[in-house]
Amino acid sequence: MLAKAISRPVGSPRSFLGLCQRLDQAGIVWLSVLLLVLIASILSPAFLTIRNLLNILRQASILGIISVGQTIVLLSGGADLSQSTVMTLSAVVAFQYLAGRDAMILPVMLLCLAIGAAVGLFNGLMISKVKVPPFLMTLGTRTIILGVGLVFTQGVPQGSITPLFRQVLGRIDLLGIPGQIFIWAVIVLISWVLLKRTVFGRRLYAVGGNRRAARQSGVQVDRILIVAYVISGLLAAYGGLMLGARSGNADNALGHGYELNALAASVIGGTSFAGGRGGLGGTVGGVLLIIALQNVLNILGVNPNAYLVAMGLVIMAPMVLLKVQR
Amino acid sequence: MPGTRLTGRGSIRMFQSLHSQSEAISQGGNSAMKRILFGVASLILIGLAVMALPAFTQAGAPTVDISADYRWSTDEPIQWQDTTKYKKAGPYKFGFSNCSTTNAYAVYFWETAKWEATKHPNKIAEFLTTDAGDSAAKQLSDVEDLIAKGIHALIIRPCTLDAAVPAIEKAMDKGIPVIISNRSTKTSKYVTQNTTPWFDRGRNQAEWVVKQLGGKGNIVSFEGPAGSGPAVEGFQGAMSVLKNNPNIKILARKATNWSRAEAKATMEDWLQAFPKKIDGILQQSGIMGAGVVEAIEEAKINPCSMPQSGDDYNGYMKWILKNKCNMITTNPTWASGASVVAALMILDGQPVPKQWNIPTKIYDATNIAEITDLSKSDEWMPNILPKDWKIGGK
Repeated sequence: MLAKAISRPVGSPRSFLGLCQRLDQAGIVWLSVLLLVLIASILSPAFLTIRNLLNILRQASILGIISVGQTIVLLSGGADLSQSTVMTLSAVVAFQYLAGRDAMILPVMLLCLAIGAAVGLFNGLMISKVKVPPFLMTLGTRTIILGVGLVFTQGVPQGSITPLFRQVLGRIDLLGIPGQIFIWAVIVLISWVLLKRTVFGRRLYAVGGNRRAARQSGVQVDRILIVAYVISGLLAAYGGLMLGARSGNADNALGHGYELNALAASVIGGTSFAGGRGGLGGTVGGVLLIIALQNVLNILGVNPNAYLVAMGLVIMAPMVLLKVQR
Repeated sequence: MPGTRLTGRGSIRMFQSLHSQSEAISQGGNSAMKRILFGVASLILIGLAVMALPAFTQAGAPTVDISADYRWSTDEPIQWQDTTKYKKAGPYKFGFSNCSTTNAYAVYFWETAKWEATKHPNKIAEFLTTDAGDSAAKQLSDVEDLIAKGIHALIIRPCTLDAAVPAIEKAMDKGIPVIISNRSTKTSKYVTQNTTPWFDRGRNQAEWVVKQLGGKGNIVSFEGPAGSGPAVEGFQGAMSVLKNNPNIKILARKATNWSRAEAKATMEDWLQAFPKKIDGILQQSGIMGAGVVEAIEEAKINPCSMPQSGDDYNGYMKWILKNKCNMITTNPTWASGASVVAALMILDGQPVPKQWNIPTKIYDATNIAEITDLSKSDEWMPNILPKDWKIGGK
């Protein structure tokens, strides 16, 4: 009788608490996003405008793309801390070799994607074959790639991009919507299909959930891990190209902080650090929560010194809601 | 003569001779003595005169010829530092603690220090360098490591006003002269500070923006990393103007960390938050300024309708040259070279100014071409490095 009482939901189905109790973590994140939108709309009429919402989506697109790669790696039971420096290296290489020439756009993009894939391959091999813990491995790779970028540029990135390059990477509007948003949407869709509708996706969850059991079931665990990190490296490189195209410059700190925000977005969205649990739906919500919050704080003119405090509190909120729910 | 026997008269004559000779000798000796005494006295007087000479000239002025690029500003009275207690024979071991090299300014700043050091091979035996990666905590460790390596002088570009203060004071207590380079520190325990006067730059930028707006309007403010000298002092300088212009209102301000992308995203948000309300932009750096003008352009607004300040980041200067609006105040990348020279002067016992400001200059659309280099990338900044100097070289 006591157990029955404990297992009975506290809130009624129509109450807010009851609603929270029925949601998983991804649902809680989306609920948080909606609450943020509601509160921001009340506090400032400038928030809920088409232009501002498109701004948020445009700003979220680069983090969103990186976060897809991070989610895939997290699902495998790992993490990728090298994303930020791969982004930076990709951008500085692009600027250097483009040197203002449209004819070089495709070869340069392929080169940068190859660099991202190579870094991912290196991470994957070391983690799967040599059994280096993912956190340590990618932390080391992050430092190596940062150094490679500094050596490559000798500290001063050279070169320039072209207007066509910027358009190819999303600066152009389609039907009034920034191209970056479409690119993000396409990548999320392809990745969702990969995770939910392919053998690879099922095996990825299996490896992340229980590596030993997956191996004993005949899953090529090493191959799955390597592919996961290669995808993360590819998306980080692509994200770097988009960021360079968006900002119009490539300095040696361009991607700084992106991997941590990608981790935060993925984990807030319900993807487990332990692997095997989560998905892109929650990650997209996590990305929107982080970027929308930045936008709200800018619009409200929050004291810059309190900015980080506000960010931290709101990011924690979904986790607190989830714990209260349980 | 040996063997000569003196008679009485001979003795007297000899005595007289000897007496007259001794008198002569005595007189001559007295003269010689007088000459010697006169010479010694003259030397003493000359020496005293030389020592007293500074009292009659600019008090404490060093007697070396400083390069024009490094010459300190004389806008404020100079407080000379007596460095005789630091005087020691070379060659020297210098320690240079840099905050970071992740932006264009920091790279040219760094390279100028290395270049200047190579010009004194007989005096500088070792030039140890550390990079804190923008971490104040790491910079504290870096400075402690440099002290442990037995450096004769410490040059430091602090990450924040508080960064490495305990280590800076420890170095001074140990008799290691500390030279603050480019950025400020909270402690006054250092020998000299070679810097762009951040307060003056902020003031100049605010004066220009206020003038463009006719003393009335709304502005937004973009600043460097929170807690860093340039950001804090630059804003203080701006406020020294704005407090006397009550019709200028700051709608919002944010630390966008010398990041073009971050500044652009922030401006996109502010254009939404304050539609048609932003009249001017207080901008501390050109790299952020370049992102801001792009955000304005993408919003289909004429950036020249929002006068903006900035610094001599080539990307921003190229934009000003093309669009014929906005202004910059320079941020001399050679403050580090002045720091190396200052360290040599200090170890030579020569006086140095406590505040060694490298003058900053103002450029706008009318004269920006003088310092813009269209052949170089956006990340270039004006510098005094020789053309054959290889960035990243020793």
